[in-house]
Amino acid sequence: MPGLTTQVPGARKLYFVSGPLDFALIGGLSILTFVALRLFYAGERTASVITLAIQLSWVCNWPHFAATSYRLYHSKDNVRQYPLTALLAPLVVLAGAAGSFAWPRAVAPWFVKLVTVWSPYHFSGQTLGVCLLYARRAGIALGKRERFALSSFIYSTFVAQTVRYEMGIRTFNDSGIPYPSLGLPHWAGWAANAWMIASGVALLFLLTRGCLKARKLIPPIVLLPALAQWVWFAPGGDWRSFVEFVPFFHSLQYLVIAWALQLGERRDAGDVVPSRRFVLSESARWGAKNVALGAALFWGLPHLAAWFGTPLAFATGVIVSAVQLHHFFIDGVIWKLKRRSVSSPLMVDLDELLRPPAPAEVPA
Amino acid sequence: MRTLRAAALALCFCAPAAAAGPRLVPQRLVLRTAAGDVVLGLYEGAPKTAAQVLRLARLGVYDGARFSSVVPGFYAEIGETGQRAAPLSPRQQAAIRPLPAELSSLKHRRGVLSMAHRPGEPGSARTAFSIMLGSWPQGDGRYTVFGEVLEGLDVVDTLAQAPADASHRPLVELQVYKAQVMTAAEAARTYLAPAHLLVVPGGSPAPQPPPAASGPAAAAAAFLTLAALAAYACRARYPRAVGPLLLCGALGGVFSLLVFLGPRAAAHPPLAVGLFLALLGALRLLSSFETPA
Repeated sequence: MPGLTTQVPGARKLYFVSGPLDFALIGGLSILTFVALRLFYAGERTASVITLAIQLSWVCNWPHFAATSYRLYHSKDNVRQYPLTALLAPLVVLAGAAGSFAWPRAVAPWFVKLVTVWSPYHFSGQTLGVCLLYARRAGIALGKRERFALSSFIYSTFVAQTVRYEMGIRTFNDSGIPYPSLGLPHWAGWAANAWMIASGVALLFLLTRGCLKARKLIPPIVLLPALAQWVWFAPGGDWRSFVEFVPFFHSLQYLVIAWALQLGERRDAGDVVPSRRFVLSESARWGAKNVALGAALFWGLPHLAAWFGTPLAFATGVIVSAVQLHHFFIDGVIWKLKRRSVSSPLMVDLDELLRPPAPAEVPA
Repeated sequence: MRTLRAAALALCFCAPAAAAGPRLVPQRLVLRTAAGDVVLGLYEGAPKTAAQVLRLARLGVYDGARFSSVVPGFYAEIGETGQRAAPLSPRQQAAIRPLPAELSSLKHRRGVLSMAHRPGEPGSARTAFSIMLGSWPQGDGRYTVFGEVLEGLDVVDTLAQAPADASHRPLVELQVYKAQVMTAAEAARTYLAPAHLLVVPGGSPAPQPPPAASGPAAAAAAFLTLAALAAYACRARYPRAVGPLLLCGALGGVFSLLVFLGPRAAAHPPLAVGLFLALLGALRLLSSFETPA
């Protein structure tokens, strides 16, 4: 059925925690930060901005990478579900990293470049997923056209931003690894921007038409991730003090969803009783593991490589790229909402996790 | 090598006292450019100019600045605010003030920095300056000489080799990716990208990069062969693995294309577009890497 307001079965509470908190973590905070930086702060990467971004990496960015690895590898069942992703993907990434160490001038710059292109693509996949997740929670099934327009708009913001970086001849630098732009022609920038604008207009048109037909408004949080990504990549993409924090906001969004999934799965495993104690202890345990694993991957591994004689900056560049590629590989596979084992625990909300079900709700 | 560089910079730092040349301010300005990195030292003898250039660099005014005029063996000019990749913020604009000329007996010789100003208006200097690549006696006593290149003059030579129009404006984008203010000690420690060949459209005077080494080619061929063989071997006993193995091969293939053709892409826009689309296609395919068991 075309349109967007089909009531889907299994619709639950709209928010994981509460309206304000979900709004903030899913994208609202990033938009507010951009507005604040735009109004009250400079556009350059100052020492304070860089320092704060690095500090946030320890508690948010790195743990979000770790959360993916933890989710895939923490149980044999998960590895059995995705054996190729679990076992083959690391080998492919290792091959790229080995090539980078072997040929630091010929291969390493392109290894880093692959990450810089894949990373915003991966952001787009997550943004689309979070939009669809909230739509599902709101009991809305997007029609094919609306879904296509939403997907097209989200991916066009990534393409427009990437093309902007890849136009002309310039050299970027990541951990001391210089890598060149592709040198895309300037018309590519025009084309990408035209695609983004056309997709945005089409999306607005289709959603407005759908809302008018159904006489029902879409909850704003369904579109908030898409709006946030547009801010990250379009107006915010040239405001360097803001760009520094975009990975943090992406990670924050990810951690909210991964946290909900973790608690939902633990509850569904049936060996725990929902309670405040359960939520606090499981959150603390899961959080601590991810912080520790994140530090090991992003700080420990490069230092280990440096201990063997590789320059630390270069080792950091290659290893951090490898860890990120591994994350992109896994994330593209394990978060398919079509799978009930993924979507079902993601319908959870905090109230269900805090209180045991009333006797009437327990199935016989 | 790094020790040698540190020693050389330390010598530069101490040299003014020993050789009674111009004394340098304690800070260094490191320009991360499209063709490598350059370290600039600024003279104490031009305090207002040095202070403004450092302040503007800290504010990011030179980040994204372009070389607006280049003449090999003569000069490369940088820092015109109208030539930036992105417009200046209000704060940056407010920080730019007209500078009085700080003339001295210092000569315009290869390696020195000369503040640009409008002809006949010595007090109109603002942000733009030239890195001299040769002598220019006509500028002596007329333009402020306020510093010199301490490291990376070969990078500026490389930039100046880019093709330019009749007004000496480069036909390709020669950008300062980042301008960083550091102490002398930090500048001695920081990684400096060496002068690398500038690939320019149109087969111009700039030389093409050397072909990639045979090592990566052999490794790529081995990887792709292995992926294909593994997919073939799995087709009967473990058919689920065939798709992912072929996808790994596709990603490896696109990555190999990037490694071998990427350095030439900037000179051939259709190739650049093709590589970019191939990369997007590979990423799109990888989203269906594995269907769960």
